[in-house]
Amino acid sequence: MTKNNDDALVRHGSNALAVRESREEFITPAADIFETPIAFVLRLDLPGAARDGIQVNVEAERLSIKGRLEKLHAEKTNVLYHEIAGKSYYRMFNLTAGIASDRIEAEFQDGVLSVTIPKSERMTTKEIRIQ
Amino acid sequence: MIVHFPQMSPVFDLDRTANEFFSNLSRRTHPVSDLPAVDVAEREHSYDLVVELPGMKKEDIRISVEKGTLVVRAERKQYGFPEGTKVLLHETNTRPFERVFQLPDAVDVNGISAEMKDGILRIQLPKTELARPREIKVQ
Repeated sequence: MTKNNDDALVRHGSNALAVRESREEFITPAADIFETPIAFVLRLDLPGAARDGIQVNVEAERLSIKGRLEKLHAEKTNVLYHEIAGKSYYRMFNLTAGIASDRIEAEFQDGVLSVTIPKSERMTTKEIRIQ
Repeated sequence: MIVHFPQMSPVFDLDRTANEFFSNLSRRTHPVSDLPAVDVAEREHSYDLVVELPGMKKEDIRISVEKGTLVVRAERKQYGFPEGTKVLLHETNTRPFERVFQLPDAVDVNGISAEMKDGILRIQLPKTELARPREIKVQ
């Protein structure tokens, strides 16, 4: 493993993987990141996001997620109290080396977006049994 | 003789209705940031209470009317992962919470309904007959 890859993994292990980009019009959604032996799993809270408006993009070792909120209130509604902020979601993550970016899968359920990022073959953890 | 119509006052005083709804909005049993965000809106025949509850299913949520308040309790289930999983980042909130809303008199508590979709809980609180706007025609 080269020095560079090593650094990438160290960064990955810390919270530095998550790059928060501050753009006022966007909400930065809360995220969980898990590492399994074969993949990284990213889960983002996108409550009320319009299913057809969710975009997951991979470009130059960066994973970006965009979403827009479904309209919360009908017309002719007088909003008395307002805590649910913003109209769109946006968050970006740095991808570490050793990811199979062509096999990334995403799923949206109960207002949570799950993105599974498989590790490339050489980065997976395998146990080798002694014969 | 003076006749009192206590039930009717909210109809004549919208601001008061709003205040009734929000005063003592919540017993903050946890720090503010732990509580899910809420919107309250008023429509012609109902109030709408919208709560952000990502990752929750309707089975995880309990809604009840207690002593003139509406109480929403919920707990988000932890994800199940295979053995050997490492948590690299954990920002989502999985602690149980409770949020209490003071109900205005103008709500028909027997007609309250709720639905859950894509992490958004929407509770509809119909107004009582007396609180609904009505046009009275001049004969």
